[in-house]
Amino acid sequence: MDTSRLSELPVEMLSFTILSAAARATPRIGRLSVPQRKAILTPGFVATTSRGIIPHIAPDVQAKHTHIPGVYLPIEDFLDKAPKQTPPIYNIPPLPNLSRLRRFTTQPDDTLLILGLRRPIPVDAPLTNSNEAFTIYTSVGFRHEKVDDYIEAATVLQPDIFIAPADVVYTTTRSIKRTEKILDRSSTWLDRTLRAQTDAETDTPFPPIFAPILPIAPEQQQLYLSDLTNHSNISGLAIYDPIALPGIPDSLASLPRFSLFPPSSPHTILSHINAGIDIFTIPFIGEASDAGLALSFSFPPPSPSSNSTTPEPLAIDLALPIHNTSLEPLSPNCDCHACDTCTRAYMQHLLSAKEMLGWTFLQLHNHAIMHRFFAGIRASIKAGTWEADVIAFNELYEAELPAKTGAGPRIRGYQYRSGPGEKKRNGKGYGNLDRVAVAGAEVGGGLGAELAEAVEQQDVVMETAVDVPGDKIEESG
Amino acid sequence: MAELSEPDPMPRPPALKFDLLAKCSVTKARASTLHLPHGAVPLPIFMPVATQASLKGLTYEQLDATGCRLCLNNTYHLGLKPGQEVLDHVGGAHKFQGWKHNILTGSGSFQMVSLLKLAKVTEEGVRFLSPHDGSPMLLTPEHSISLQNSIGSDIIMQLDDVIATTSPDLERMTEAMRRSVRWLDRCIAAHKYPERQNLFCIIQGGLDLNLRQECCEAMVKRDTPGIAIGGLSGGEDKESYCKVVKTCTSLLPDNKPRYVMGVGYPEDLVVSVALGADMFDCVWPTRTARFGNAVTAHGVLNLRNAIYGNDFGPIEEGCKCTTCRSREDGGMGATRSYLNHLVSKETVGAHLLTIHNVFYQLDLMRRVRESILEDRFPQFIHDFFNKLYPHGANKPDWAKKALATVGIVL
Ligand SMILES: [Zn+2]
Ligand SMILES: [Zn+2]
Repeated sequence: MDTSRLSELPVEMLSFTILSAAARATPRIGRLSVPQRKAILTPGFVATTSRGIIPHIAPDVQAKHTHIPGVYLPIEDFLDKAPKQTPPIYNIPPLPNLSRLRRFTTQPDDTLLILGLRRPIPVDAPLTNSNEAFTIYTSVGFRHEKVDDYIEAATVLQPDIFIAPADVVYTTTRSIKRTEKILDRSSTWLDRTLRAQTDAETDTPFPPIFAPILPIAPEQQQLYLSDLTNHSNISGLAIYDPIALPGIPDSLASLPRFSLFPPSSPHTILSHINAGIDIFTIPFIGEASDAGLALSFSFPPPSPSSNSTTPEPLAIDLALPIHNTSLEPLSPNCDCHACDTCTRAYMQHLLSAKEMLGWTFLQLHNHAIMHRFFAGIRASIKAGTWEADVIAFNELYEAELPAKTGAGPRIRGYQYRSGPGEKKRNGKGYGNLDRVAVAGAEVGGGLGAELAEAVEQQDVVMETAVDVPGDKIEESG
Repeated sequence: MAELSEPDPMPRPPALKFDLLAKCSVTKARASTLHLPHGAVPLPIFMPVATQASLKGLTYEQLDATGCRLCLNNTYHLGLKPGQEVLDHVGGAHKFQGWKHNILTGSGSFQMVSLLKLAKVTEEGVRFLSPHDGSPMLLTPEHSISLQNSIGSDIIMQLDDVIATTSPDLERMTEAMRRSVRWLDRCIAAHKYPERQNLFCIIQGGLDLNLRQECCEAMVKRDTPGIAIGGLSGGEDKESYCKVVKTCTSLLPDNKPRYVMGVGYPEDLVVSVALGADMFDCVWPTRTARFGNAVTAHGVLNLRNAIYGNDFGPIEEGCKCTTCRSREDGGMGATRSYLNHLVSKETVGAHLLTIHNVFYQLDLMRRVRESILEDRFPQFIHDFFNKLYPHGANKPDWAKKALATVGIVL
């Protein structure tokens, strides 16, 4: 393995060790470590976040009951107040050993924080990027974020890993001219990032940089890729689409490859590992939890039950009433906190009552399933049974996750934007109880609150439109 | 109107032990320990409400960490979902939701009457249309107790005939009070497990102090292990509320816990303790958390307000809840600013505020209890109101009046 590149970095910042065969050969196993943070064993994954937290998992629960080594944080989740005001995350004073980013988001001390531009599944923007800015979507709408401001965030926020800005366009059709622009801008933006790193003061060091690999065919970004080899201060690669992987120059082969391409199923993950991805972001974990699905696959797959020809499902739909008397854990042989404390019957109840705890438990379980899935993958690669295990996995399990039946939590605008012709998700279902909610809100505590409570349970978990006694209470103390 | 018959008192011994530890030398406040089947509980106490066997996104470990040892479930909701069959199958609500400590269940009468427009009360029970399929249903005292027996809660409540305290119909109020006493007798007779579940009676009688007195006398004779004061917190003025509480506590025996149902604002708790009450429940602190409201010693803060956007202090300085406690102290060190960023956008915002609000309420009662044990509760009351109303003049009249009746001049 080529270590000359790594030796030029301050040793304490970041290291990636490939533990299997040659760097170029895939699949490969490795270990990404940053001092004081959990190491990421690869192939592995980091959790996706929304507004600084893993959805439905409070940081205390995350620290105590998950093995999640790191999280991906998109800058667009923190910029609602800009440009009129400085976003609070830039104002919060850092503490010794506690960066602004970590202090603001309350992420646990040993969780690796990766800062990037946009959410893993970004809301499609009607604005285009410009030479100086990229489009973001915050809870108050679309706007441009200046590339230089984002680069400055690296030293101000001090993530453990900083994804350099790229002119990423999330559409499938693209003109040749647009492709040229993507290349031009991305290499300019990367240059600026690297220059900022060189210029950084010692008391606010620039975090390790992951350089973007653009979501276009390798032959279209040849020049950009060969340019990368001239930079010694790149610590890793951010992959926006695995189609570009074959184009990575040999001299960059020993860098960790972090994927921002959302896989649709565990099968996709396996094929992306074959293509050379080391670290994944996996939005389908959260989507499954919101849909009431408990992931139930494992790797290597268990031997198929006697001559059964129907494929096994990848998840169990716990929103279905058939589970309402089941004392089984969410999925067999799982030792996660949810399976430790929660039966299928209770989960079915939580989902049908739309209690938030249901989604919390499913998130804990689904992240635990993925943790074991990757542990199994690493063991399989190490044991040399990978190819056979992948074939067996693809044969045993269905190709896609089950269709969603659970209504899930209310989806916020910044998470999803309905396009023309799309139905509004999770619409209101108050019906004729609406009036009671209003009456209840007026009375205050006791009966009023209880009435409103019961009405709320007809539908919504956290509705912002209906306000409560809050404002009045503030006056009366 | 049927007169009340002589009672069959509760079989003894009850499934609890009540240790009265101290009485305030000025007010009617008491400090005690209630030993229940799932562990000891310090009184006075606030009980958070896990209506549908879940406390608003908190894992039971997080609830445990707030110090909660007794929470509420709702018989009406659990009777519909998951239903009695499931509860019997899984072995009760403790096992069902994975909660190791105590549970109290309301009988369901309150929800029935307040939520279901077509509910009709007869001597037999409450008739209503199923919210699921519109089919006619009947909730009798026997059925309510049977459901609560299946739930397995440590404290179960009688089915009572609840009407709004503000009802001007004295005849209906008298009927409801006496019917509640008759239904108590039916509940006592139907209760299968008095040795492991404690049945509490519920004093009714609206705002009429004579009716309350008659009800207290009749129910005390039934000798239930604990006594609730019901039908309050339904929109009556607070002066009347305080009069009812004080009238009832004066007529109740010293050696039993007294539970005022549906009360939860901090100042209501402190005044009610001074008037001699021991136990309280309310959905308000957990419900209001979901709208971004934090309960503090200085009043309620709506953290959705933009003024908190750049406020990097904890919700409440010195608060020992997991949300506010610093990272060095094993907490999350969440700032007002971050809660402003999360609330009403991510469920975790609600989790963090719920943790704080439940902790605040429990901690308030812990401090109340300590001050009673050390006989400095009157000073505690002064300090509490001075913090909540820093400009002396605007302390609420109802609280001044109520406290004056127990020897405290605010
Ligand atoms: Zn599990
Ligand atoms: Zn707190």
